[in-house]
Amino acid sequence: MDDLIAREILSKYKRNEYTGNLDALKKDLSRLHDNKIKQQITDKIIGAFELGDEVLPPKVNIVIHGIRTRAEGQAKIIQSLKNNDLPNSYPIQYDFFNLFKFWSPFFIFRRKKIKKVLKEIRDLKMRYRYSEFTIFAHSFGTYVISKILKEESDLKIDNLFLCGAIISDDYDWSELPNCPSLIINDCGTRDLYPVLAKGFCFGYGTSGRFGFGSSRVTDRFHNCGHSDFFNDRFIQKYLEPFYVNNHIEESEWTYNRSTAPYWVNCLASKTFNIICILLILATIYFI
Amino acid sequence: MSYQKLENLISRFPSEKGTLERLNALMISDISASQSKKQQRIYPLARLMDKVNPNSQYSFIEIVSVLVEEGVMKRILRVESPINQIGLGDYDAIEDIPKSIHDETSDEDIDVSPENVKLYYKFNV
Repeated sequence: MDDLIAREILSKYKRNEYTGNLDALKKDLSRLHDNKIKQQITDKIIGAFELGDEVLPPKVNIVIHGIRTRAEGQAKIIQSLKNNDLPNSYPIQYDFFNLFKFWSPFFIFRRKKIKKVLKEIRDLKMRYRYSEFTIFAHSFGTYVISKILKEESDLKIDNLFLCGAIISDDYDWSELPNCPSLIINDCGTRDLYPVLAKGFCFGYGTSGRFGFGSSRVTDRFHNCGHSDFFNDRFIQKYLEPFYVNNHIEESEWTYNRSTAPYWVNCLASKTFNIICILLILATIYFI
Repeated sequence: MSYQKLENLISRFPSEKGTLERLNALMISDISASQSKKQQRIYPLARLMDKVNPNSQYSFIEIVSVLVEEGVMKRILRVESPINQIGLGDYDAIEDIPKSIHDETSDEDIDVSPENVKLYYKFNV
């Protein structure tokens, strides 16, 4: 609870609500029960009045990559963040994750990656206790973060950007204990990977192709494939406006996109998924 | 500060290793100066930062907060005159700061605002 109050106080400072108003600051600080936290926040606010916002908790950005890469695409986003004066930007990597482990019905392989990413996020949360956190996740990275948000009830991520998402279509954002305030789901209407993931594997979905259609999520559609989210054009046009100006750039393709071909819809259906998995399992059994 | 305390802080703030070593050196020189002159130096936050030159102001504020919690440093909240920045009163906690304070330089009572409150630090001898 004190952490929430502390973040609220820092937000109020940024909105100039304490300028010329010591009483308001004292009143809000008195709501903090832990004396250590009270002193830390007092120091930050008084220090910020004297020296500026450099004293305040910085924004933290995390980039989580997809499978079958060692995150070369992450580097472009990290570079863009740092070029835009956001030095506390961190790629989180996990070992090369091959197609078998990605497909495997033994979720232990996925669990190991989830555990690694969670450990890194928790470490950053400890080091930047009151910071605003933004996560950029691609492909399998979206699956990982969706599991973490569902299972770790105390973890608060402020902003979440998904691209090439393979999160289940019926993932219920409203049931998350700490749903991010802003969720942008960048979908590629030429991205076949979410469809294949759902069609042939266990537990994935087509959210990166068809969107979530949830009031908690802004689905943004692009005329692109799975790996096109990491080119300079996409980063400059659709990600930079957020971290430079806090602006979400609309994509016109969202309103002009064409309907997916019939065979894509078939691949994405639950029936196809069940038939496929049974066939694959039967093949493995008889080999 | 003790070697162990310094090492703990360095492992917690690895990018500020140089800062912590400079802070430690400053503390050692302060302690010997205060013993000989029987007078202790008090540093405004900005001056302390100039002396130890941290990589990040945010990390530095975290570090001094930890040092105050552990009793290595003492933190003072000083209300300064908005006219000439002369200290009008020193306080240990923000709740002790009065709503208004008499400024002798202008012979007026001024309403204290957060902008008039400054952080000062000294090493606990």
